[in-house]
Amino acid sequence: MITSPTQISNCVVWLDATDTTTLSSLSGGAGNSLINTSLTGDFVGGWGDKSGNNRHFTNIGGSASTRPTWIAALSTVRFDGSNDYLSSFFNITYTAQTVFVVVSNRSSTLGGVRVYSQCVTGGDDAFVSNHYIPCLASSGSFYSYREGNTRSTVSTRGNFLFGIYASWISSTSTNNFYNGSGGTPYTLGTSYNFAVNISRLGATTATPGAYTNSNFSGDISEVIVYNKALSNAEREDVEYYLTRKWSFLNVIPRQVYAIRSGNWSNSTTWSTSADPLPWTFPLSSDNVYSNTFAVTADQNAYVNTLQTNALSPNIAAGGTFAITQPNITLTAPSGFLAGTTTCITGLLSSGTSILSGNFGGLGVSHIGNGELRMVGNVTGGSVASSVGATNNGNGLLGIFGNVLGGTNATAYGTLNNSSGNLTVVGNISGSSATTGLVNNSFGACYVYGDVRPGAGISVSAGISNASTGNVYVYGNVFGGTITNNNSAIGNSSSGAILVVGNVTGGSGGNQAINNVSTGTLLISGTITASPNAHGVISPNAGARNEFTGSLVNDISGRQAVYAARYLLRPQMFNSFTRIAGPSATNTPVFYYAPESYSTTFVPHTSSVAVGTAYAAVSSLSGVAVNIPVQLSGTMVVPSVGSVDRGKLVGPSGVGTAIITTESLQKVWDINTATLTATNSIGSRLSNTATIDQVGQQILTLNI
Amino acid sequence: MPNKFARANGNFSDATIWSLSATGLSATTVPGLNDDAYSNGFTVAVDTSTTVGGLRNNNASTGGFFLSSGVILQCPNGISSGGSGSAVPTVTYNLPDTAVIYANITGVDQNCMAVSHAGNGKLTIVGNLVGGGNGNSAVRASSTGEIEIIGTVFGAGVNSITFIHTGGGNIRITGGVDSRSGSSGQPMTIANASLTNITGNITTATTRDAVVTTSTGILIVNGTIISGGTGVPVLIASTTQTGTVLLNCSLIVGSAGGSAVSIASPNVTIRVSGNILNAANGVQAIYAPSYRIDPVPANSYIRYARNGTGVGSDAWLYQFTTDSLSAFSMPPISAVRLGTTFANGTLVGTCAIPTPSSVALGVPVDNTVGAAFLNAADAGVVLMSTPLSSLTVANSLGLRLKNSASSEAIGKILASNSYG
Repeated sequence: MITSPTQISNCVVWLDATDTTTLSSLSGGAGNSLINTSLTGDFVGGWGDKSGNNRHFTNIGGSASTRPTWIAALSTVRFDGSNDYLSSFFNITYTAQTVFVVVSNRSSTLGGVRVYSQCVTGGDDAFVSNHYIPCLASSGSFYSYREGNTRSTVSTRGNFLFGIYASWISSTSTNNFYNGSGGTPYTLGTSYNFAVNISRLGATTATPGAYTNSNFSGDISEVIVYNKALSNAEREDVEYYLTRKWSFLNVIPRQVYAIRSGNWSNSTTWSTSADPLPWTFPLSSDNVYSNTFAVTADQNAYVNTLQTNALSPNIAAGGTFAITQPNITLTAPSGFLAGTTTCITGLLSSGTSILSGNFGGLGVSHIGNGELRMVGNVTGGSVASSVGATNNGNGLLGIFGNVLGGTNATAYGTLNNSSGNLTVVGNISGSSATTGLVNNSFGACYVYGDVRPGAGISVSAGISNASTGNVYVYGNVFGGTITNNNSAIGNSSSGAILVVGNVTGGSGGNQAINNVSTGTLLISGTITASPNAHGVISPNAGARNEFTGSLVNDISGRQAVYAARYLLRPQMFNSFTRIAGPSATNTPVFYYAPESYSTTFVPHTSSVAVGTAYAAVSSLSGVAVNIPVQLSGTMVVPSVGSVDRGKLVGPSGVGTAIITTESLQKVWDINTATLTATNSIGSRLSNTATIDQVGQQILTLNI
Repeated sequence: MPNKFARANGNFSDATIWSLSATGLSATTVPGLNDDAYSNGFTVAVDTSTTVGGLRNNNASTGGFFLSSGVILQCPNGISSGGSGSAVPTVTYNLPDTAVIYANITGVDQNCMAVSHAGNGKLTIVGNLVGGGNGNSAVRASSTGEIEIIGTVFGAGVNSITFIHTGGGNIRITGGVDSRSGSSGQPMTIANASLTNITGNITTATTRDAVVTTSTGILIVNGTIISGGTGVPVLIASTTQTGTVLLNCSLIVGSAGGSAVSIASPNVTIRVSGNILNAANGVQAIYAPSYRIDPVPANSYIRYARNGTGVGSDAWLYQFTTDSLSAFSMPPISAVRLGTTFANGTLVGTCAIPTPSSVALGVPVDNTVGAAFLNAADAGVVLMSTPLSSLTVANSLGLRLKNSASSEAIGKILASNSYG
């Protein structure tokens, strides 16, 4: 692990924009007047070499307009793509070479734009086949030009984004790297042997201005040149050094691992402790391993992955990352990945902390009383009991993403296992092997999304409610699509299942909900059977089943609800039941609640005078029945005295209300004590002075 | 009522086989209308149409009365099975052709039946069937012959099944099947009938089911099926059984727990043509995975439990076939919004509802309240609530009133001028 490029031998040039003492405003190299580092746009006339070889780059022979400029916010040197350049004249013969440039392109240009070129004095590098590197192509890639053609092209991150370009050449082959990713190596036809006495940034080595199409428009923050072909380890060391140094380059994933139990914020926790701050801690592109230790997240962190996996040769499986306090956010866009131990252990006793990323088996175990939020999809694992997320505490575990069962029968997507609650804002599905969500607690589960069973064995329900807790689903519930015994929701507990949404039997013979216990089942939505499956099965006569929507039986006769007992409690009598007719080709028979068929038959209650009862049935087909009044009007008819004169009201009434002159004059009868509204004319008038009051004032003042 | 006992095998019409006691001498006459005849361990062929008070089996393990083809047997005192020691039916019909029994048939006790239909012919029973105590049946049919019962099949004693049908023949019942209150026996079981046609009600009032069938044949019910207990009037418990059940009747269930029809197998074709009245507590009148409405009945409906108690205005939810909607009582047109067409286009409402802007402030109208100032009090409140800041028109009364002085203000002005 290097902290300086010169720690690797044969460093012949090192330009470092973070060291502003090397940047001068005038031509002539280091030692001239330093630039104004707080002034963006200040001209950079010289960039001093820190390799110890005094190979400074200057704008000798140019003018202010040909000098690149300083960009304070980015600590970088910007070339305008028109005529800016910096040159260094030193003699060297390369038989191998490695060049690193921290660079950001700023415009879509033609191919052949020079970032770093080299040749003999006065020579045009375009006519020498072994020289200019890196060269920017118009397609968003870098390449080097070797032996008459482009070689080892590597893609960039795009314009306006910094990256580390590394051009590597040995005596026999060449390759280029961008942020650590290599291109296709090219085997040289002849051994590399190149005498140079001019090296240039931002333009060709030809006379400045000769080839303006080759001028670079972009930023260069650091340049490091070795006159040898670095080994892979050396190259990675330099890239790592640059990555840590330029935090906006943080795109090269490292494997960072704990070396002891402790806080995340303690540099001694991590394997990179030898480095100076701030590079001791995991960076956003890093894969971070607990390495058998317990790391307590005492600060927010953004990394690529958090893992309890092993990684040969140094990292062992085990340990965990613990969250013990609120207001912590751990972000791992490539996931929370567990080995044989739980990746995240939630221990916070109060408040809320957040995990952002996707979660696999043993992803999270929440034990505390606080709230732990998981923002990402959760999937069970591949080995026994490798549940994606388990709530083992009294607090709330919130999942904002989809939940899917794993590939082992006990590797549920999520498991609510204690007295706490579980909230899922997303869809839940069983897998081919197991259940998406198991509620084994007397806590509640809240699901804001659709629920589906898995496609495999009989236990792979979307949700299994197995204890005394309740499950609330605000979404639709679907039976499965293949032939097996799966339900989207299975209730074997005395707890309740509440569904606010539609429930539909699966096409493959899977009922959507199977309530096999005495638990309560409440469904607000339409329940529909498929040809092969009921929407709901509830065989236990002790269960309380209540539905508030329509029941749509299949035309095959299969019942939407196959239950010994249930109540139908629609709102406003707006439901119907569909039952299969004499054959599949006949129209099903619809049974309508009074209002639901058509208001042309039965007027809506809102159009019937309040208190008017109707829709009773005394006989059907001549047979006396005793169906009581089912509807009662809600339309209020005001009295004629409350309606403007002349306006129709009721079946034959006419409004009589009017303000007459006589009645209007009663305004003057208003009791002044009632005129209390603040800043109203009424309160003002009630306080105006009377003659007596004025006289009393005069007497009091003895005028 | 004298009893007569067979003293030898022979024909019922042969007076010499009868005695006035179980071991006595020959009587001079055959049993008549006022006599109960006992087979007494001998085989008696009812060789001709006969009227006798009753037929009995005095716990014999052999013999019994055997009906000849074509006879009509009338027993106003009924036919009963033997007691616990009996091992043979009291009456057996095991021939082709037909025979008719006019009698109530009663099981008595244990393991024997009063009437056995074992022939290929048709046996008609005109009378009620009542099961015995402790496992005894009234009638058992084990042949391919048809049995017709014109009467009601009642449940009776503990563990008894009044009518056991194990043969392949058809069953026709005109009268009904009743697992009546107070009985603890099951009225009827069907194992193999090709056709069972019940015209009459099937009811339960106890824990016992009424018609339990494992037959793959056709069961037709023309009547009303009513469950009043935990027993089920029509029950198919197997989850794999096939067969056809045609219910041309209404299905009514109470809250005790038993559905009117409970058929666990999805392989049974079920067709219902009638009203479906579920229980107040939600127990379903028909508990089956699949059924059809066929033929579609006129003016039919389903009654669902709504609040689970059966009490209150929201106790029930009724859903109707569309031809029933015209049976609803309609509100008077004077109570329906002006212009609203209803009753299938035959009626138009005449009740005018003024807009809120025409109704006095705060007075309920339609589903809102009025917004008009239609009396002096309202106007006064509005006038006096006018904000002072809104009174800005030059030379207006409002502006004059706005700037009127209070006595306190006048006092301050006078004081500030240091009069006196």
